[in-house]
Amino acid sequence: MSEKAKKMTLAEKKEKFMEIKPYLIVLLIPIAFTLLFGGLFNPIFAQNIPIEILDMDQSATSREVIDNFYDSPTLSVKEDVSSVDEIKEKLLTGEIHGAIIIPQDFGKDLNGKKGAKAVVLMDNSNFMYGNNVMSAVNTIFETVNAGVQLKYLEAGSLVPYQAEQSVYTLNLVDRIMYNPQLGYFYYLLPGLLAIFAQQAFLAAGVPILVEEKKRLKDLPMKLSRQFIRVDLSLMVRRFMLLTGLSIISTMICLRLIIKIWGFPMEGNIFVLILFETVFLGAVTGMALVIASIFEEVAHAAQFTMFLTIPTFLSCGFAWPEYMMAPGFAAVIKAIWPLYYYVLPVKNIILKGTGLELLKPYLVGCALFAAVWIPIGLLLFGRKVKIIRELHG
Amino acid sequence: MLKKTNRITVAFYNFKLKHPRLVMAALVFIIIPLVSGLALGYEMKADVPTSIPTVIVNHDDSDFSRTFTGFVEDSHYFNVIEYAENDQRIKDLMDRDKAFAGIIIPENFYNDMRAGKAPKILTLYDGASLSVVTTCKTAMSEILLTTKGAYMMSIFEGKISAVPDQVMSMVTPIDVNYKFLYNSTKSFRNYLLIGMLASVIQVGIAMQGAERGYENQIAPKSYPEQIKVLGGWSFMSMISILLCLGVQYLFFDMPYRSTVWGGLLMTFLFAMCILTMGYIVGNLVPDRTFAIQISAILVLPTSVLGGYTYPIEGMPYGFQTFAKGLPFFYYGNWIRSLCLKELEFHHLMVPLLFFIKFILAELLIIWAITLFKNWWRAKHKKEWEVTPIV
Repeated sequence: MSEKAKKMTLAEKKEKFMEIKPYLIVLLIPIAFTLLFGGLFNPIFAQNIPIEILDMDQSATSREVIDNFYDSPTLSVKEDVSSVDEIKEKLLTGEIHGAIIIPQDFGKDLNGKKGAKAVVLMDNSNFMYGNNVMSAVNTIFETVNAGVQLKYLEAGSLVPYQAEQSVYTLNLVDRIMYNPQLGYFYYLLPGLLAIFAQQAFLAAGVPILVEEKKRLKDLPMKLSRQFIRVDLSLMVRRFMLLTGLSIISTMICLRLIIKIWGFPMEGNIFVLILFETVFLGAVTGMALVIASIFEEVAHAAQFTMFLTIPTFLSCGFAWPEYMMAPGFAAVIKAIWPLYYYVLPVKNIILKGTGLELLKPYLVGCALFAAVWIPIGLLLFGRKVKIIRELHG
Repeated sequence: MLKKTNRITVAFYNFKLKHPRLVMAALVFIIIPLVSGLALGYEMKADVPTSIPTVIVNHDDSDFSRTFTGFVEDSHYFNVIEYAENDQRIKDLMDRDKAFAGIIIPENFYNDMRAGKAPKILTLYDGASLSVVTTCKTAMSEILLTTKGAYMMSIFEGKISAVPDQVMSMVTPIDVNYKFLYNSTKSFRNYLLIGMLASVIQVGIAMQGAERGYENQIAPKSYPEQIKVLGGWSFMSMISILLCLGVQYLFFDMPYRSTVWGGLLMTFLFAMCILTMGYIVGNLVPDRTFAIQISAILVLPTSVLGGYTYPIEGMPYGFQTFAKGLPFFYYGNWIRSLCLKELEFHHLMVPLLFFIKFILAELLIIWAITLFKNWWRAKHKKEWEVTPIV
């Protein structure tokens, strides 16, 4: 085998590579991207978000409060501004994402039970920053407030235990289901796995179909039915191979994220495989439609690449279905199948949801495939017929 | 003989064969930006997650707990879809994506509270839907703070006989005023769509760059001619981004509060960075489709790697450094800032200087490639007696 490879000319090697390229894309691209994004999102929390503190009071009490912020891993505190204007300028340029302003007489008001004031500014243009700053700052102020309240109550003749119970009553205990640390990685990865599978499959499958259309165009008009049948079965086998490789690729991706980053896989792997198989069938229908529109492989490839972000943003993953504008969900479910796959993938991986609850998605995806594969075949066949007539 | 419908297909087919560049340029620079902008803008019309499906399990059933659940019902952030009997029901509905938040009020909650036993309200969120949870948590905390404020007032009044004037400052010793700047309504569209749409377009720009680069492999141009091509197509690319964002501005209330000239210049330079990147790939990769795919793959992940949605402070150090070398890191974040903040031209020095340096480096690479290819062609022309394509 290696001898044969050595004897190949550069052109032959290129041809061989182009032959196996679709299979390599389907197998390797999702793995490469999983490793890339896995590494990117590995730290679960956003840390060291730069904020400024402007202490206009400069009292011992304000210093005591400010020192608490230095202990927060979420915040990276600086105190090198001398005016609110400087803070605003830094917020504008994105140098900092939050600021705390402690006004004059802060300490005096707090110690004199007059109610001290503080202002927190947050850059909410990216509200991942705004939320993180808010959460960290709020926790610290709440703790400080609770400490002060305890002192007041104890001074007012309540025993420490009673005071503590009074202060800490009516607190919320948050429990984040399926993603306890509210990590971006846990949230995003199921969606990314689905989009990797879709895009790699389209990037490999659509060029195959456009090439096939070109080849059929140049074949003699007297092409026998038997020949077409052989050709069709070859094409079916190639797509089955792509489907198989795509599933293997997804399984490798899952294995990697479980092994390297301890990602929780709650559900049944066979249910996931079932969904991916049906989904790729539905995507095949769309690949046929795209291939019937474009004459050049390069143009079809461009179009399929374009689909990545719009299909991801419109499939109900980033923006849940119940929040979509009227009629949007119905249209998107009718024209693109990602909705039927991405939500089950999320639910299988994170929630461990079983087939019973996911049946509506499976039925929807199967129906989608049952409608769009024939439409795709019809459009593709019609286009081949027309261009054969034109060029024949 | 062709049918009428077929005749339309044939006419379109012939047009595509005659004007492939025009058709693709129209698709990439006009049709896709318009359709994406309109579709995604419409999809996220609600803008802020509201009416979040919520389940309440109230084991207490006192007036106090009913007042609390009443606050939740009155909040436009929550839509109480069910008052369930058992806690498991919340999980069941979350598993079916029917509920995204749940509240469990324990038995004897009010009595325990009065007895000073500090009972807790348990709130559950569907962590698999991050966009909903972030809104949920803040809204729920606000409701609880209001309820708790009233309760603490009664404690201070009743147990330590504080005078009403003092009570408020004892309940909230430090009164913190939180100000969410630039996107105070937490508009999801303004947070996400501005950069994401630019990210959709940058994929097309890179691929068109690869096409032009590949054309240069087939029919080589002089260096100045190549720069002219890059300039012209970068201008087209800029128009494409403006068209897409223009749809958001005109139809979906996207604000634009900063310098217009600064925004135009930044968009042009960004478009040129990306187009030239694709051009270099197209100039080097010997297969047209593969060149297009590689150039797309190079820019596609930058929408995530560039720290547009996920803060780069949350990335490992190596990724942070890498992100700062990506054009989209600057464009995505700064175009959103241009829309939401009130920036002047001088504020844009950081991204503008980065883009200029990036473009100069790219032009240097193209110059080196051109020199090498000219030398290679000249060398092998004598050998093969034809000008080889490289």
